[in-house]
Amino acid sequence: MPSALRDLQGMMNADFCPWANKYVYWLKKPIGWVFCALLASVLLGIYVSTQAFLVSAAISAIGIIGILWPWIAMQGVRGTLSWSRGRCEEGEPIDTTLTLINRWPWPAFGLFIEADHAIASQTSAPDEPICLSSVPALAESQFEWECTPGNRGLYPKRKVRLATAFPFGVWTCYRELAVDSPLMVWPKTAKLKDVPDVTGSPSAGIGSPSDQIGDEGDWMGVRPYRPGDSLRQVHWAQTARRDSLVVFERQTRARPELLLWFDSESCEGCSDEEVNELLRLLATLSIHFVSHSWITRVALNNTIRVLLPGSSTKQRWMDELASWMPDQIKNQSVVPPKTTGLALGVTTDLRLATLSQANHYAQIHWFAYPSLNESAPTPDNSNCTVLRGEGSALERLERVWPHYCQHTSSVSLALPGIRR
Amino acid sequence: MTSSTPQFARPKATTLARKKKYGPTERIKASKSWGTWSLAAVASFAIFLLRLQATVTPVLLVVEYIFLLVITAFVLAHSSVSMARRVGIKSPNSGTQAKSSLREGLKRRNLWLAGGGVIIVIPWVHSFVQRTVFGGAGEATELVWLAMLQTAALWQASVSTTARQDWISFLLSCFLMLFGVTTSDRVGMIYIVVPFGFMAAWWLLHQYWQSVARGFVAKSTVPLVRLRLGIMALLVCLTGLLGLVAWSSGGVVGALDGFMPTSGGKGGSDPAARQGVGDGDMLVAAKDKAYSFGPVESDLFLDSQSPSLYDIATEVYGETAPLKREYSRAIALDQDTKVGKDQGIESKKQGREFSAMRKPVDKAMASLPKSSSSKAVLQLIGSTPVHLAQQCYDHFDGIQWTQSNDLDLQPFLVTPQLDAISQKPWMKIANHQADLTWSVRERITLKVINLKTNRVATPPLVTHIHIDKVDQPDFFRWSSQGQLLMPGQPYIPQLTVLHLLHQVPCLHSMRDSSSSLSKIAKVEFPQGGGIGKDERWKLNYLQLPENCPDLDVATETLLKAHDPNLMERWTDWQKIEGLTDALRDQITVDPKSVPSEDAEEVISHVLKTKKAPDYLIASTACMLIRNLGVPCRLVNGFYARPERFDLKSSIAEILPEDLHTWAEVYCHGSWIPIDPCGTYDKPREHRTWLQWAVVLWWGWRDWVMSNPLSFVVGLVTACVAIALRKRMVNSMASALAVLSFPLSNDFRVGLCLRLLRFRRWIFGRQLPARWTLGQWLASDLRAVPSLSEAERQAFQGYAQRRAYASEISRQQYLENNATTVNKSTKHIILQGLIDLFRLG
Repeated sequence: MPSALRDLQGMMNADFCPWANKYVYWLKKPIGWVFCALLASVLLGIYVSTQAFLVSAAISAIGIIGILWPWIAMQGVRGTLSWSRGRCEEGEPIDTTLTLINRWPWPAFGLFIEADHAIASQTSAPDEPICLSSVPALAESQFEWECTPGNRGLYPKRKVRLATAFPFGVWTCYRELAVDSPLMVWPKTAKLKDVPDVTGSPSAGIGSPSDQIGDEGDWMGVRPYRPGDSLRQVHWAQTARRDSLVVFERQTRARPELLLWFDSESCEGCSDEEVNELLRLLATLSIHFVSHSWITRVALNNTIRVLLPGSSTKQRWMDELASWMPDQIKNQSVVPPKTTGLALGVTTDLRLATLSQANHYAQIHWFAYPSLNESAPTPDNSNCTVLRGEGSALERLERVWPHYCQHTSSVSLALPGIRR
Repeated sequence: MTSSTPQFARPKATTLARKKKYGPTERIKASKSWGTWSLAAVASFAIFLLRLQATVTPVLLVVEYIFLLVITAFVLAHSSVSMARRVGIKSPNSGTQAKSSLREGLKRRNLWLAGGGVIIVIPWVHSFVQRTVFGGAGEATELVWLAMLQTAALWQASVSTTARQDWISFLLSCFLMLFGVTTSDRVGMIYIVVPFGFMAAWWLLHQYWQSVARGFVAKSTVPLVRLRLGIMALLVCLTGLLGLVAWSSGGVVGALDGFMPTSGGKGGSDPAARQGVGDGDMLVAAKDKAYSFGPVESDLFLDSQSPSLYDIATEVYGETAPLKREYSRAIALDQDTKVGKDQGIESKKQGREFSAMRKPVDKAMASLPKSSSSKAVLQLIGSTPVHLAQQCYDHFDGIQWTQSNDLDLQPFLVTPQLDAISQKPWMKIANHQADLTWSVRERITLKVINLKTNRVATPPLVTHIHIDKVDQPDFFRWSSQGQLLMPGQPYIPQLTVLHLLHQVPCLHSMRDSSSSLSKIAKVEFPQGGGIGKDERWKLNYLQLPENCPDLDVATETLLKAHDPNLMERWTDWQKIEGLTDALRDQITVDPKSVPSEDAEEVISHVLKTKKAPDYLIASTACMLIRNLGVPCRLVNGFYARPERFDLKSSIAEILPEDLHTWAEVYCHGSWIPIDPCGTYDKPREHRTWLQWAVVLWWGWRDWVMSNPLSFVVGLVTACVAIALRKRMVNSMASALAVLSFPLSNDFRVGLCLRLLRFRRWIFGRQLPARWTLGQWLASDLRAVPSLSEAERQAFQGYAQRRAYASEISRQQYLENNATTVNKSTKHIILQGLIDLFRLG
């Protein structure tokens, strides 16, 4: 298009007085045009020729029918929206059912659903809204379609409304739909093919259970008291016999351990899609390790959660990730605890430089989502993997994951203080 | 250039967001429709007609118009084919294909823009050629501009690819049509506007449907039987209600009164009304139809044998009993003198006397007026019942009512004056106090059929009268007795139509002791010393016969029998009402119960026998009211009965036997009718909703006070019924289900399942959606304690097989468990009946 035409188009579409929109917004709708046409025809009828009243009558008829018909039709229709399951992942098709009861003895035509695009569109035609040709009279009708929510979250995010502007489209009437139970859409996860070769706690490897505190594991013996031991673990008979505190010794767990650190501050300034990509990475990593029965500690937003293998853990964790919003970000005041297991982190490449300078993050291997800014420097550090390349972040993770697993040995992890 | 106007550049993301927001209407259309082009073509035809009127080169104009239509149609057809090909072949799913598609689109758009630029100037070129080649001023500039706009609309319609572009063309077409209609003086333009209107409506519908049609999803439907039954019941109720309204308001015509245009006769006329709806003014006034009537000056009617009121009274009430006269001396007169005297006496008798002493009527009216095939004296259009006063009397001597010679009320009455209402000459004949009357005037129309009188039968509180074409106020006059008459006429011509406006009294103001209108009896009886000159005439209406029985005693007796409460606190009107109601309650209307011919006066007969003809009861009421000090008069006239209202014609006929006598009480300048005869409806009064509510409340309270036991029983029954409504409905359903005992087990199991579901519904126990049949049956059958475990299992087993298993397996199960299933259904059905009496 020639630049002059482009400028002209820009000028024609420019909003020169946005403050006036709230007063004249109705002029942008068909009902505004009908009103203007009616006004013009009435004025012409009064001042120019009475024949224009004929046009006024026709426009009035169209306006009145166009307003009353949809309004009356919507008075008799009630409906409920429901899903075949309560939860699904991003990009996973789910059956949606809309149950409508029309109490009028005449059908309602040409209805459509006004809701989040993710749930009010069919998988087969994602660009088209859900429309209903007719709702039969005095009947309960069920409309079913398969939708594919693209983004995580609790749906519906806004009111779901049934609407119609039939017959003329000059005025749209709405009726709010009830929702049986909301749909929780989890972040999409990828199937990672491997796990790092880490077999459990380093203490299991070197056979020295005596430095363990806490109450985890079954009793296997006694040992001298160390600060931090609970008084409940004191073996009083032995204590009396030896005249010094003796506590029960517990066995060491055999499951490998993971610390997964989500750098919440990396979300600042990110778009929604970038935040979603970060959360997908986090979800993929956490679920992958939990499904391999690792004891996974995940840090999200100043809170460290322990994810134990099991479906209820997964459900709670994914629900949390689905509804986590970037505006919940707080300054990360919690520092990562020292771990003898594997420590992974999720961040963006813009934060890598900062994170690499902090000592308490030194034990963590970062998976960094590349920002749109291609010029972001990649620190010369083997402690991070920037997920560059074609495809989504998950696809990139899938590609680099086997490589990462191959280079992560249990021996290097087993030795305290030695990282890969 | 681009950098110089960055503020106009729209961010791509925003544009995308807009497209999503506007939904399907913003997207590129899958196919081209000819609707928009057709609309533009019709609109451009209107402009073409305008130009045709003004052009000097019509042939050139026709060629130009046809060329434009053809070229735009061709472009439209071509782009339709190419678009269909694109949609069918290409699916730009890859980036390269999308880019090439976009490039093609841009190229095409540039082509369209260039083509549009060329084609739009054709009208201007035409005008230029017209001026330069053919000479003259050419077309008017605004017409040329309009023609260019018309071309733009056509071009836009043919090249549009989005719904929004279609809208632009549609709006342009509408503007062109509006302009064409406004500026053209051709009547034929309506033949273009009307189809255009329908096309535009269809276009809007099609446009909307297209915007939603691509997103349709499949549906499955279950009819709501219960709701359908409810709707059917509602429809039946509505039909019944409408039928009731139609029946009570005089047929369909009556029910639609005020809704459908009327051809007249009911307060207005509409030229659009069809013949035969009601009685039209034209029909009433005999303008068109021979069978109708009006102020017809035909000799045929002048000699009619119509009866006078006197004749009718004689027919209906019986012959006047001969008066006992005491002759002291008899003088013989010559023949001529005698005849003249007789005529005068007869005339006086007919007009000014009414005897309350009559022979009893022992047979039905044998002779009817002969001058018409109809028995009717008058015909009435308007609300019934209504009392139509014809003659009134002031003086009563105990036997005869007469009109006093010295009484002339004319100075106190309004002289008729012309008052145009709805461009018709109405005569204003009376004013009534605003507090005493409802401001809305009611209209009645009277047709004189068989009555020889020059006095107009008037409803109570009449204010206006109108006869078609009569615009002389002196055509009407009040008589000295306060009766409206036509002074110039010996009698009102037969079939004359009289339109009358009257008001309905608001009597509440006289019942309210705090109201200024509550005092009516200003004149102390019988002394007239303190009466002002203007009120002296009232004495005539307070006169009592000398031989009257003791009216004070009679009043007290009547009132005490009617209402034992003390009457001191009552207002004058309440006393009058009390007396009237007492007479209505205690005196039976009996035309044959007349006093003996030698009686001195007639009032005693009424009070003693408690039954009398209406004129005697009215006379008694008059005397009793006069005794209270309130002016009162006897009125002769007709009572328009509601039962004579003809549903088809909306006319009530008034027959001779509708002759009636009642009383009128003078209150604050108006004569208010009262009817002391219980067989006649009371004259109407206007009440507000609140007053009606109070009347209903007191009526209800009186009923409660007089029937306390019935009230308590009714109240307890209602409370119990409300409390047990659900159980009662359940029991009724169970009682109906009992009828199924002779039927098959299979049927009864189905019935029991429905009954169990019904119980859940009626008691508000929602069935969880995911419960299986077994789950909810297990839950519901526990609520039938009389059911044994075996019976429960048998029923549940059969119900489940009925729902899920094959016919054979079902039959086998039933054969093995027939007795148990039978018992279980009995228990389930009877449980509803037991539940009604279950405590808790």
